[in-house]
Amino acid sequence: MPKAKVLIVDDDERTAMAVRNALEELGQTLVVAHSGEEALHHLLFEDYAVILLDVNMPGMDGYEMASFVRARKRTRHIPIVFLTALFRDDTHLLQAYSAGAVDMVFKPVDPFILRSKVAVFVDLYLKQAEAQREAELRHHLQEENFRVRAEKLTAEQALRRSQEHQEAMEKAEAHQRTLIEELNHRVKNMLTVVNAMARQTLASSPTAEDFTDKFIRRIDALGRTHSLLSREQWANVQLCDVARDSLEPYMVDGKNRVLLNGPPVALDPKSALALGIVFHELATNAIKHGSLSNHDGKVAMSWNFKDDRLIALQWQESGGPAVSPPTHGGFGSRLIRLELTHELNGEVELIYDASGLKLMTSFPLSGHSGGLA
Amino acid sequence: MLPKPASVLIVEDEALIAMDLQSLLEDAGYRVLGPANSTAAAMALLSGDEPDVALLDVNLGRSDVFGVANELATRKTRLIFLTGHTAQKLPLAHRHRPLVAKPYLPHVLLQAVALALSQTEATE
Repeated sequence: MPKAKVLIVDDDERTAMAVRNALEELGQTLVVAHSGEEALHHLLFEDYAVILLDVNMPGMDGYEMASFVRARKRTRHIPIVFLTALFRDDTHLLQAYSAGAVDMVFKPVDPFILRSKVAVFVDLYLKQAEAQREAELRHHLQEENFRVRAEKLTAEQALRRSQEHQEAMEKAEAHQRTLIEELNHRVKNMLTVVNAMARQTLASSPTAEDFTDKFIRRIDALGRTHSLLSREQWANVQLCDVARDSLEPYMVDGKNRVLLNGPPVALDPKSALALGIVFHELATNAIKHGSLSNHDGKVAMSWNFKDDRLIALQWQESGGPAVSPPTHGGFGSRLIRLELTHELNGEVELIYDASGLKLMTSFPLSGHSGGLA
Repeated sequence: MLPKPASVLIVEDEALIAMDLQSLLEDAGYRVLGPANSTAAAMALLSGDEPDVALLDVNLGRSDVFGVANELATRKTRLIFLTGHTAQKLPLAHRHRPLVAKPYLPHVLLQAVALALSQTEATE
């Protein structure tokens, strides 16, 4: 059981003893000081339930000491009970209460009265102390509660972050696997295309030199279109860029012998690659047998929209040598037809007009192609 | 009278590969149906003809070929898949079918076709 402290301040030893004896029964801690100064010293270090203060002391008297106690923040809450032998008249009573006393006990001290009065203050003090302890405990528990909740929240957040990280990792790995598979598929396909191109070129090449020249140029044309697509991040590319890319090797003499004319048309990669092959074959044929095989011949390539998603394209040679249907290298014209019909789902007409080769084709733009980009 | 040549349906959307397959098969004496570049084109060809063997490219542009494969399976037509992927990529129902890897060696392809034709009836 916690004990309250009672401070007894009296210079007279006999009174002090009497008070002590009277209060012994209460079972609390009794502290005796024989002067105001001594009492103030005690008050520096401990808290007291009540101060029993003799009014009449040499040096610092009771009133002076009381005013010190009342002045200090730390001690002003401690109830002061004056012990006085002075006359019980109103002036003295008023002075005592003005000094800050809450009660008076008259000497000679009646033990019963003294004990009763002190018991009240002790009781009050102990109850306050208990309430304080409970409040502190509650406060401590609340803080503990908050702390535990905060820790739980932090742990949950950390777990969630780690889960999200894990999910992101798995997603990235899956994406990478998809990309690798896609790459693998494209490479295998490309090798198959190169094989096919080699076999077919060989079948239509009378000599090894002929084969080498044609084959290398065809691979080069494929490579160029792929470079163009790479530059555009494998998104759509412009038809005129594909044309220019394929025909550029054949415009070396600086003269503008190949004229391109048409609105912006955005092609998806598949269509771009197919047309790249078509333009290459047309250009090769023009160089070898058609209007680009002499000094003055020209090629006019034009295109436009037949309707919302249908492109009509025309390749017209002029000023070249007299034209006749191809006798050798039928692979070239077969390839042109196949690319336009099989890859682009279009229609094609090759006209071997005496004035120059004419190709007319129309094909639908795929779902990913379009007009103005 | 010469026996009727066996017919091979080609479903392949890459023009050069389709052309190569066709010339390989025709040079070996087969009759070629197609080549079809899509599921729709393949189904249109099947409405008028019945191939002895079908050679199917697994990756047809944006769609895959398994609609056609299922149709051919119900008709009990012999199937050969052509692919750059492994057999794991095939749906379970078709994982047991003969597979020719891309890029293909001509003689390997022709062997696969001959083998398929030699089976008296198509495997389920």
